[in-house]
Amino acid sequence: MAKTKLRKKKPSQLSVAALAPTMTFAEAAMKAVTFTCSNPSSILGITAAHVSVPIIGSRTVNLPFGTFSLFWRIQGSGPFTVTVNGAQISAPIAGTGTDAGVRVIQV
Amino acid sequence: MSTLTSTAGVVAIIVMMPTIGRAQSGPQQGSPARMSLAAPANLTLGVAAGTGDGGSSGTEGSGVSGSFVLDASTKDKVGTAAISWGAGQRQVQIAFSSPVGSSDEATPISLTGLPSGAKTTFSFNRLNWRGPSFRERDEINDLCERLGLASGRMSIEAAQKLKPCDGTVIAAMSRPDDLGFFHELSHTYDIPWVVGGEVSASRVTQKFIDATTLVPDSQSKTTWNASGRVGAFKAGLGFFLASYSYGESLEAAGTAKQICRPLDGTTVTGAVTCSTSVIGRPTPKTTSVVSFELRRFVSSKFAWSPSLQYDFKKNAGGDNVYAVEVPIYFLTTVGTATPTGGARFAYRSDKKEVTGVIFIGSAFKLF
Repeated sequence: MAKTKLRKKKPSQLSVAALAPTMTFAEAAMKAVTFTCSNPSSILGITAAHVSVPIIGSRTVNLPFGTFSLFWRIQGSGPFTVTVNGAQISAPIAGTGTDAGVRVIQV
Repeated sequence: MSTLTSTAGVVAIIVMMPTIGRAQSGPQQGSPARMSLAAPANLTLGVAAGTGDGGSSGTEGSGVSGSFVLDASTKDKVGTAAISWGAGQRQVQIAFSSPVGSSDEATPISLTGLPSGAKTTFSFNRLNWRGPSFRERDEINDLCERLGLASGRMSIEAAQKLKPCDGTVIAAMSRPDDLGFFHELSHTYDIPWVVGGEVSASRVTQKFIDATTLVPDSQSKTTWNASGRVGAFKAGLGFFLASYSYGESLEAAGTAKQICRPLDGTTVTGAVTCSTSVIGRPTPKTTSVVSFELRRFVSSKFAWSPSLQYDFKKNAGGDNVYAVEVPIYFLTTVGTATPTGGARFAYRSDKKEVTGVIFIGSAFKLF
């Protein structure tokens, strides 16, 4: 019985350790980072660190200090520009309509 | 004047209280509490909601925000205090409202309109749009590196020297399979959807004149309502929402009429005193309302949220009532969802007339 429990725990421990070895978010110092999408009729999705949120308009999320991947996706029509306050990203996020992309974010 | 037209001139005055939470740098104009409460009660999503996630603005993981709203028509003034909390896609709110000053009978503009009695509301909303998992993020970074684009694993300086790994950049490389894989991993085309609900209890008092004695009287009743909603987002269309509510209310015996009686304390022949009142005792009514609503920005300065409501329960006249509402929001700040006013047009099949209402200070959000 004890062996079975141990086997069940291992995969999740391995996947987190292997894919995100530096992300012990619960213990990390956090900073408020605000994402604002210029097109209010579009819906923006942000995934970074432990956070994955949809955004319409503007939203502030608490992110840990450090450098990590920022995955964004947007659905809508018309041009959009996403501004990030409180952190630096590797390239501007802008375009038209529906799109997705990856950035490096430094908090 | 019918009860419907008497509500013309509704205004909403908003006083925001400071947000209390771990992160204080979030945009105050987009706080969940404001979005849910700022619009007239029957226009908001979580009420669009009661809480509306109030929308997606706010601070991820932060705590509590409060708000106060005053809705006033030519007859009624209702103050509402609310407290909201939540994280990420979830938002929960408790609101308390009460009449301010004198009040006549409840005069809802629509089937789910604002009653003139004290009301307590508990509501929640959740906006769902899944992002890539840790494993999918790893595969996206692998794909970006294979294509020679900036991946999320690089340092920010190294990433700045390469083209960003975007769908448009991959599309320009004429690699349709990689583009499809990239969007699949990113969940770009998954449908964002919302789910929410609300439970409320209110104290309703209606004044009337007894039909047999013509003596003024009033009847009070604690009514309740429960509702649920679900909606989905479509690019270029906005949020389409379907909701259902079931509850109790008091239905007036009819429209107010002018009643004239002999004036006491005078010997002048023909002297009368007149008042406008509903004749007959109100009756308890069960409402079972389904509604469909579209919420969208037409442009950066103009938004609307037309809705159709239908009551499955027949009214006193034996008819099923439906209502159509078309609120139009005029936005003042380009690129934000903060309006300062608008106009609302409503039609109720039992009244058979179109009513126009203006409001100020109401926020519009897709969610």
